[in-house]
Amino acid sequence: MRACALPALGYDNVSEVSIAKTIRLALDADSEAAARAQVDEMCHQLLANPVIERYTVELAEAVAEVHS
Amino acid sequence: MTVTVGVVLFPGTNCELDVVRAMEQLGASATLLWHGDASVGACDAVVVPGGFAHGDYLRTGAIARFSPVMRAVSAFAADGGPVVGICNGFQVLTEAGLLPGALQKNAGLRFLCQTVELRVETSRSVLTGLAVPGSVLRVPINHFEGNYVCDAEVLRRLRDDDRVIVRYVDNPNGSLDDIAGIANEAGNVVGLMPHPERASDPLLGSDDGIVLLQSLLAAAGQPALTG
Repeated sequence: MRACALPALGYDNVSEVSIAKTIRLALDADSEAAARAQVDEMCHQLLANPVIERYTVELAEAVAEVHS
Repeated sequence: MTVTVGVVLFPGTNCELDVVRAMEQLGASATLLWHGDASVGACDAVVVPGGFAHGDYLRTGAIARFSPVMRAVSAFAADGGPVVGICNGFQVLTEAGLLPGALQKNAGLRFLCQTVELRVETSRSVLTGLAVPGSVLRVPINHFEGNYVCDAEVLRRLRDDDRVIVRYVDNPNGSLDDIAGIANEAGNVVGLMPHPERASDPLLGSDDGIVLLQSLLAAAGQPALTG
């Protein structure tokens, strides 16, 4: 897609603009591999259409806070 | 015997009554199938009409394919029953795996609402059985995601097996190979972006869609020929 508004602001070195979708999930899993496998399955079944969409999965460990 | 057409209604569908009216005008009876229904009842054909099923959240058709009625529609299609997806209905059928490929945003990223010319490419489908290959029909389109795409292998099969049923004469949306509508291998499941029900009366500007709707009714009346 050609950028029009950004050059109007003076950023005339911008030639490509694209927008992507981010889907954030919180899930319980025994391991990183298990979480990755499950999210990959979700992407295949629902979250992404592999015919027209590419996706990457990033995992971040959520550490439960322990109060004494 | 009167043919009964089931017209699927998801939350967000908005073309169901246009389809019902067009079918009734052609002498068929039409009944609405709610998306939560587990069966298509005693229908002889099913139409998945246009609109924004489930708000098109996530992706067009992505949520609709999980509606209970889609299991019944898939079973009906597997038994050879005629199924036609129009516009959003086409998107739902691709998401449901009943038709290959997908529909992405129009090239040019604009919503398109205009009458286009369609060339009939084959009479080997439930929607084109009575149409003359090579003839040109004037039918409206009304979509943002109508840009058909599939991989090279699927495209080869669509062409080799005579499954591209209508092509745009002047491609409005960037669709691969000018594809406006396709059929499954058996020819009983069809999806197309243009709206034949909106070209079903001269008052609407064109009645070129009638031959397509009549083809569907003819196929629905002769299930043995479509199985």
